[in-house]
Amino acid sequence: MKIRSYDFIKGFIRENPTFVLVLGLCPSLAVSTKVVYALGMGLSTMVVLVFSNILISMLRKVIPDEIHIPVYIVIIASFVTVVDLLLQAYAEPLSRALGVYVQLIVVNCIILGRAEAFACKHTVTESLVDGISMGIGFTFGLLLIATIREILGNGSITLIERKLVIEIPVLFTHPARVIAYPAGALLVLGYLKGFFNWLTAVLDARKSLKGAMA
Amino acid sequence: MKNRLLRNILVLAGICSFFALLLGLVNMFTGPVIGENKARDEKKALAGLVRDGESTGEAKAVDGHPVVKGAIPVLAGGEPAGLILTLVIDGYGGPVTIMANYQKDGTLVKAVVVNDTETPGIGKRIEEEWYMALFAGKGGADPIPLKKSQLPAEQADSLTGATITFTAVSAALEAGSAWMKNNPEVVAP
Repeated sequence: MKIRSYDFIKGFIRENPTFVLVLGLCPSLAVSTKVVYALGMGLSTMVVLVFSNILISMLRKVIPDEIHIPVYIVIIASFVTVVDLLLQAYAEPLSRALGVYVQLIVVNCIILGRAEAFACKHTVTESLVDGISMGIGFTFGLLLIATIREILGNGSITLIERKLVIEIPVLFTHPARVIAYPAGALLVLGYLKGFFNWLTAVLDARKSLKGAMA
Repeated sequence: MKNRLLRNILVLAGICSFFALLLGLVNMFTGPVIGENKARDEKKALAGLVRDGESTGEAKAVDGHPVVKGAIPVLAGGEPAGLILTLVIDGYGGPVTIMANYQKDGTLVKAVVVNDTETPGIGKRIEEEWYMALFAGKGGADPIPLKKSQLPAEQADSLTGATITFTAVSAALEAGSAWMKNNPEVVAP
């Protein structure tokens, strides 16, 4: 199958894991308090997603149906452990900040979902592209939630923990604290989900109109 | 049937063996770096715990206590002034390691969280300096607050959520203070 440019960008809007597929919501809500956490979690998830997709695709003809879920879990858990060890060694502040959520990537529905729905049925190249696309889409979703929450809830944008923090005038001294709390995460997610529903509906309508005109 | 079972076992065992090898290799490279990071963090925490004019002695392990795991003598002008205790307690997300400087009478001078896996944005606030400062000066005549309701109203308001983490931290600091009072021979031999 030929790789199209759409395959690279499908994770952004039309098949966005967070807002359209509604997968991996636990870390999306939990680590979206600061932009730097969202970026770290998004990239870590992307690395695991890409490598697990590649390996599952490579082994798709070897893995028997009866044991495919245990095999996927072994593969995903191992890559998560590799990422966790690398973060602890070379990005310790980020590892400390993300805490248990790095290990919880193992049970992130996006990774098992893409393994089950895509990687086990497609070639290595297609699975690699799917992993990148979904990973970027997840990172984009996390960043969007985190940027809104940090600006409104803390009046800041943290790019490097305690070193590079942009303070937003007025909001820094008078933040809407509720947005930084879990209730705020659900509110922001709800509004963004509504926006993405509207956006996909508009895109679908345009596509149908184009098809009809052609 | 038998062949399928055998094939399944072999495939799973093969994949597990491959990943065990991969993880072993990664651990071989990252293990020493992680160890260095932890040692550096502890050194940094220790340096931040002693006051001007104080120095630290040789660390001693504490056996058989559920929370207190180690003690480092604090010396002021060569005389024992107190101890820095290593406290380990279960928080919300796993073990929380705290290093705390106590005076001889069990009063907490300063404490820092060295390691924890609490929830980012909620329980992780224990790593911030203001959080541990809530307990400074307590543990001697003034007891360590074990409930948020025992804190002044304005301090209790700043601790929204993460009750399990707060309870764990305060219980660990209280255990350290009690240990200081019960082991005067270790504090000033």
